[in-house]
Amino acid sequence: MTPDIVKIPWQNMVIYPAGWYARDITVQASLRLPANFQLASALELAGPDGGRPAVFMPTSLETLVDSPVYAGRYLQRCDLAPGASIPIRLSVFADSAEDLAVSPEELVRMRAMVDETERLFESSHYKHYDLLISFPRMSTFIRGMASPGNRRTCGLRI
Amino acid sequence: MRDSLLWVYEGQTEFWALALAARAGQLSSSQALDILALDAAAAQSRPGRTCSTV
Repeated sequence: MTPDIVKIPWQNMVIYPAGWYARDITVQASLRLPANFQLASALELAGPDGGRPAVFMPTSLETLVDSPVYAGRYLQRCDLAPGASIPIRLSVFADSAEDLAVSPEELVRMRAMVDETERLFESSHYKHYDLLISFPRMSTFIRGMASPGNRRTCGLRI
Repeated sequence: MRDSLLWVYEGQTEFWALALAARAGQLSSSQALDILALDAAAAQSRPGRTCSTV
């Protein structure tokens, strides 16, 4: 979390009954964000985009805890599968508007990654795929220092 | 799934992420192999792996 980016890991904020399968528990999450924050998630919204609070479609608890929400003041969305029947979207969050820039070369490589993934798995068992990336400036928030830069992606499926 | 074979799922996720990044030109082959080697070395040196499976 930074003043301009927040990630919501639902597993840290749910209370649920013991002894039941999380996949059998239906929940409906809602989220009140600071003004001017936009969100991205694999969760589908039940209300209008930008609604206050944001209300999500009911899901199983299992799906909810596997579908974090990223939100922030600066968001850039990219279409990684133009024209495809199954949308594959990239959402980039940063602490400033200039940190959001995705170069054409980067976009080509991201789309190549999607192509390679489809070639590898030969199937797409999801309705849409949302990749979430954040570039917080404060290095204490960067996970996985061994990976190249801080460019770890978080892929989410429903 | 009760965490059974979690190491297979998580391990495959890590492995194929690197393989696909290299195939897509996000990483060079040697960068991908270096990261894999680093992950393996880190896992090797963690004492926790000898007292609990994942």
